[in-house]
Amino acid sequence: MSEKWTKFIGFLGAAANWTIPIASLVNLKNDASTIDPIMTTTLASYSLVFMRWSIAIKPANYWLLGCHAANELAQISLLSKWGYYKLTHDSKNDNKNINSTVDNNKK
Amino acid sequence: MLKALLNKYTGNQIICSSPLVLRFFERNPKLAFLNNVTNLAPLMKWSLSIVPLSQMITGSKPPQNIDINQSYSLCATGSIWTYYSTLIQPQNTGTKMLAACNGAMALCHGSNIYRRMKYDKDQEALKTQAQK
Repeated sequence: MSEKWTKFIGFLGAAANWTIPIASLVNLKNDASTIDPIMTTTLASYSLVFMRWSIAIKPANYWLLGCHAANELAQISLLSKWGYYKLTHDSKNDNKNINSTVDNNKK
Repeated sequence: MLKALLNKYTGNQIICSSPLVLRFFERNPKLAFLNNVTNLAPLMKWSLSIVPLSQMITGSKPPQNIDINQSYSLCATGSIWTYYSTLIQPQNTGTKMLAACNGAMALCHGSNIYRRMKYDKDQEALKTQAQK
């Protein structure tokens, strides 16, 4: 395979990866209770490692580096939003929400 | 100029090259693969497919809570990256594992998309039944 083709596919991969930070930035508008903290932390740690990985390979993929930097920012902002929501809301309201979802499932 | 700043890291697979860490990995040669970023990165990426799988099995994430935008994007990257990881240099065990784990990721999030779409369809059917 020629290097040009590899670089093109790398660019395509980075472009597809850009949909992850965009999707999470769109989710910033939604209610904080919809955020899944486990998935967000895994995405953030995955971005950290892949920032390093993207330039360790040959040919180096600088598009991917930028994409993962953006993803890191997006995930951290989501996480901080979730943390702020957890700190400011009391647990009584959460219990009410859980009960209402259980009732919906029964119907 | 930005590229010049990153010259230290381009093509360099060793994560931490401080003498203390290197000595530790010399003593434990079975763990030495962890200091190579091409091996560590696929290992980290496995968590991206393990988390939704475990949530699917334990049922801690019902289909109405699935973030469909995220599932779409992760499914798309998974399928493109399976091909990309067969093109890059170096071709070692790590990159082959990356291809495998990207395939798994595409499948996991694909099934998540299917679950959410099926849930939405069922809800619509219930609504139309209620109206009748």
